[in-house]
This record gives sequence, C-alpha cells and structure tokens, in this order.
Amino acid sequence: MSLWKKALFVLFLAGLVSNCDSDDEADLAVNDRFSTTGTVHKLTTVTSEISITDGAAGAKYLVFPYAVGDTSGDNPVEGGDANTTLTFTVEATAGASLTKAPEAPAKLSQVISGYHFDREIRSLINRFDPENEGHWDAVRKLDSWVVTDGPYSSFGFVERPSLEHSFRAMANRPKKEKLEIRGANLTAATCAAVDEVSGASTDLLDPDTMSVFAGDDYCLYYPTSGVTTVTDLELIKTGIAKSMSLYKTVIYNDSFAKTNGDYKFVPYIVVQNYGTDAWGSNPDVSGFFIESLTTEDNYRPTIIVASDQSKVSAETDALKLQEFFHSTVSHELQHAIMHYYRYVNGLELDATQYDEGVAHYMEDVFGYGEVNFPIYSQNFLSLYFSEIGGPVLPSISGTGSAAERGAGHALFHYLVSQKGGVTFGSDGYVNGGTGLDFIRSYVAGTMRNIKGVTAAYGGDWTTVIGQYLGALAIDGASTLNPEDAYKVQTPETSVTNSIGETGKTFGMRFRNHLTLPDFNDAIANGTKLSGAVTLELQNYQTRPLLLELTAAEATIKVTMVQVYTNAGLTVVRYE
Amino acid sequence: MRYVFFGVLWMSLSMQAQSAETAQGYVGGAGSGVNYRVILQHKGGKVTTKLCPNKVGDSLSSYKRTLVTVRGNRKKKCFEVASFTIDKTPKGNDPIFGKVAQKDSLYQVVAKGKTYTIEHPPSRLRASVGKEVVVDLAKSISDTGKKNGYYNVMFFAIAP
Repeated sequence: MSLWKKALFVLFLAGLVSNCDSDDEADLAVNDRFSTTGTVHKLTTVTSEISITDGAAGAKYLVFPYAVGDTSGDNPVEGGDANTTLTFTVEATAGASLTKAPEAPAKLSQVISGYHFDREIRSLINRFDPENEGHWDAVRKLDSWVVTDGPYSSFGFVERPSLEHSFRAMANRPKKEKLEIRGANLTAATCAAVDEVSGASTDLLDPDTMSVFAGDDYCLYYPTSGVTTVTDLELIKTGIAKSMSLYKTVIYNDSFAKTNGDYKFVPYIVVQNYGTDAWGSNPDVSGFFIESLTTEDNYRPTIIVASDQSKVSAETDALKLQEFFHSTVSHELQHAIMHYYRYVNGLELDATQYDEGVAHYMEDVFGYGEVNFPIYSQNFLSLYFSEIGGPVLPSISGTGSAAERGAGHALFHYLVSQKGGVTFGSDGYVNGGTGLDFIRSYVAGTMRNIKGVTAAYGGDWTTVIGQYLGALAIDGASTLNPEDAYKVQTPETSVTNSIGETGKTFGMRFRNHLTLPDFNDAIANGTKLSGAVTLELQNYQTRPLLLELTAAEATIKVTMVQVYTNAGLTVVRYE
Repeated sequence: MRYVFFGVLWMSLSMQAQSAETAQGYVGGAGSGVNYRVILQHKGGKVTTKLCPNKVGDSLSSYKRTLVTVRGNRKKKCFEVASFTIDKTPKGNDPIFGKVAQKDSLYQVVAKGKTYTIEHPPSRLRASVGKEVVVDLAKSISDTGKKNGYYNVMFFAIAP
C-alpha cells in the first residue's frame, strides 16, 4: 500500500471513530416542523429536540415517550417486561410547560372484578402443581387481590377461608386413576363416543350423565342433567354452528382441512356440569381450550365450557349469563383456530398477549362486546392514564391480568380498525372488511408473535405504536384532532350475536366509553414541572405528559440514557 | 490399545450425555392460560424446545429473552430442566452477577472484582438492596455520568 493510500486509510478509520463518538454523544437532532394535530417523532439520538413553530398559546398537547425494541431477528421484544428499564428525560425548554399526572396508589392494580377473578384462577388451578413453589406464590398473589363484586368479593377478609386454604385441600385430595385413552378408533366416526373423550378433569366422560351430538363440523358433549343456566340445547347448537360458519366462511375463509397425525379440526365442545367430580380441579372456570387434550388425548380441538355460568361468574342476570356462555365458545374457538394454524405448521402457540388479544377481539366480532369490553379493555384503558398504567403490549407469562389481556384486546381493535375494520351485513352478522385480511394474514401465517403481527400489518412499527398511543389518548375525546391514525372504527350498534340476538354493540371508543376517566381526571391533581422529568419505562410503556403552550414557538427536549431501539415521541393535540 | 482407550472415552461421554442433556436458546413463552409453557427459541430459526412444567423450568420465565443453557432430560413432549445458566443478556452481552448495595444516595452492583455505580437506578434495583442480581450495564454517556464512571442498567433480574 502506498503512503498516500495509508494516510487515506488512517483518515478513514479516524472518521469511523469520530462517527462512533458522535453517536454516543448527546447530539441534538432538530426534528420536523410540529403540526397542529401532532405527530410521531422517531428518536434516533441520545438527545432530541422537537420544535413547535406553528402552535398557539394556550393549546394543549399530550406527549408520550416510548420505545418498542427489536421486532425482528432471533430474539425480538415481544412486549413490555419489567426486566428491561428505559429511562427517558423530558423537558419543555422554551415556550411551554409540562404537567405530570400524580402517582396512583399501587393497590389499584390489584382491584379486579369477580368475573375476571374467575378467569384468573382457572388456568392456575388447571396446571397447579403442589410441588411448585411458584404456583403457591401465584395463589398467595390471588389471595391478596381485592375483588369488587360477586361471590369472591369477600376474599381478603377474616371471616372467609383463603384461596391458599382451598388449594391445600385440593392438593391433598387423592388423584383419580385415569383410564387408558386411545385414539385408534377416532377415525371411525365424526364424533368419538362419550366414554372415549377426555373432559375437564382429563378423565373420560361418563356416558351415564353425558350425551353427544354430532354437528356438521363439530361434536357437542353435554350433560343430560344438572344444567341450570344453559338449558336450551338447540340454542347451544345454533351458537356453535354460527361461530364455526363465520370463522370458516368470513373471518378465515378456510375449511381448516389440514391434519397433523390423528389430529383434525373437528372441535369437541364439552359442556360440563360445574361443581361435580367430572369438572375436576377447575372449580371456577367459565371455559377453556386445552392444548394437551387436543394433541395427546382426543386428537381434536378440545374446548370445555361450564354448563352453569352462574357458578363461575358474579353475574346474576340470566340473559347475560347466557351471553357469557356463548361468548366463551366464540373465544375458545379462536384459541383452537390459532392452535390449528400453529400446530399444522409445526409451531408453538403464540404468547399470551397475542393469543388472548385476538380471542377477546373475536368475542366483540361475534356480538358479545357488551359483556367483554367492561372486563378487559376497560380495565386496561382505565389505568392507561395513571402512573401504574402498564405496557400497551405486555409480555405476559401464563394467564395475565384483566388489564394485561385488555391491552392485547385494545391493540388488536386498533390494528384491525386501521386496516379498514370489519363490516356487518343487513342481518347483523360480520360479513367482511379489509381489517380481517390483517387478522387472517397474521393468524394463518407461519410467523408467531411480534414477527407475525408486524409482517401482517406492514409499515413502520415504531410509528404504528406511536400513533396507537395517540389514539388511546384522544379517540372519542378530542374534536381538534381529526386524523384517522388516532381513531378506531366507529362502533356498530346493530350487530347480531352468534345465537341470533339482534341490536348488539361492536367496538368501543377508547376515551368516551362508559365511565372511563380521561386525561383531565388524571391531570387534575398533577404537578406542573419546573424542569426536566425522568421517566422509568418498559418497552411499549409510556407516561402521558400534558404540554401547554405559552407561546407560538416552543421546544421539547428528550434525552435517553442509551439510544433505545425503535424509540419515539408522540405529540398529539388534546385541547 | 489406543482404539480401546478412545472407545472407553466415547462410551463414557455418551453415558454422561444420556444422564444430562443440554439445550440452548432464548427464553420465551408460548400459549396462554392452561396452555402456557416456557420455551427456548433456538438461534437462527423457528426450532423451539418446550420446557416441562417444574419449579426450575418455570423460574426461567423471569429471564425472558436471555440466552440460556439448560441441563436435564429431554422427554417425549418437553425438556425437564434440572439446572440452567444464563449465557447472554437480551442485548447479547455477558451477564454481570453481583449484589445490590447502597452507599449514601448511590446504588451500586458489587460484582466479583468490580463495583458498578448506577447513574439512574431503576425502582426494582433500588428495592433490591442486599439481593443477588443479574444485570447488563452500559457505561453512562451523560456528561456527569461519564465523568464519574457511572453505569446504567439495560437489564435487571434477581439472580437465579
């Protein structure tokens, strides 16, 4: 190499070193001009300045710093996780002031509805291993929760036995002998005989108390006595058949004909009488899809539903209990379909936040939004503006809380809305919509979790989530921000549910539904900041700040401890 | 004689492998509710190892996205974990094991041979004084932090 080439090479290396340094230094990046309605600014340097040049004194904006981490590669971020801490510092450096919502009492996250409490303990009980100390910790955690209504609302008080006490008793109960379960003769008929099918207790069903009905593409196993709330067998058949039909012909446009060994997609829906030995160790469960029975025992998607929903719910209204039953069927069928696509492609199931997010969304599509929304999305949305608001996409281990599931529920509602939403025919049943193309592409695709969602959705995921944060804040609440990116599909009020009840509601507004608190409530006792505020966040988590302009021109400075992957700052007009 | 020696050595290694198999992958979760299982996502593809539900395997859900090596027995449907080690943090760095200490208003991670002072200690770290932790730390890039040799936390968990 000649001398001048060596000199150039040294200069080139020096340039590289210099560039590396500048990335690590606190560079100031002046972002694009602030619009009157707000925008998502991507943060790519340690320090960024957002300039507002066309504002008006007195205008109010909401500001959300966030990051979503890697969405591709071998080890993508699947949601917010407490092990990863992101530290943002935000300051209004000119022409504006910032206000931060007060810290909410930590206990608030542990206040849950009786219906949700049922669902929380159902998975724990089903997988409960007395030798596992982690499971006992989970029992004690449930014991510490405050249940607002229903038969569990006295939990936590002195006069009633604790859940731990009940679990200890259950753990000491002798295990039943399990009969030999076979799959060899399952191909002989569409539906296996009653005494060849495993139910909630994993024992074979009892032909003396159970019967079978062979539908066109499903098998219904039901108790011949002891049923109190769901007495109309024909209505059960109607609900299942309608759900199956809509999933096959509208939502997935697929006959689910692929197989894997003896497995094929002819769901076994087992309605079992709660409170009997047949129900097994699932005393407070409204329903569930069981993967192990599906692939190892029955070789059919196996769904268990409690015949008497009044025993697993705080609800007393007969019509609502009926809706819970059929809503549960729709929900569990979606789990079975997600499992179908993963199983025939040799993949594991998706993580809870995705699996439950889609399943709860489907309950809405099937006309059960009114019994679904108050438990899940509302729980999440009510906490969103508070200091304890969790990630908008949490990384969940196990069942997840109502707020965590509600986060997934709300996210899929937004994503489907942005892709064109769903449509309903004159009969009130879902009949299409380009939003379903997104759902179909994700669920029926060959990529799991965040990779599957982002591949199906397309676009820049950091911007998508930034816009979603804006939508959570102002959809239905602000008249000053007409941009579609901050809205969800307009709710429908003439939807027919899977059992033919008309006039049901689909969808939700994020910020003006029922008694949700809005940002004004959250900020009422907030603190106006005199300087910078440091926020400790997880991926997919944010803290809302109110920005009030005092001049037409203003500047916000955002500093990150490190350059976080896929970070952004959403600024949306509020008032 | 030489072949006999290698034969014995091979048999010995094979027997060890049968008694304690290993698998390596990124910690993740699959399924929800009753179907939830901890899984290892192997490097470079869609191959996964499902862990059998037990105390050790379940505890791995506290270390999501770390690269771990598990030891135990591979069963027909899942891998029964007897023990594990954390090989890499989610960022791909070597994990630092140490104890959280508080010195006046400063929080530190005291590791073997080195003490790290944390510039912005996260709330979980502040609440873990005296506990053994596993962390991933990055040198501070703020003017004050750089001057004082501070670090910031990128990953934090209570040590296994």
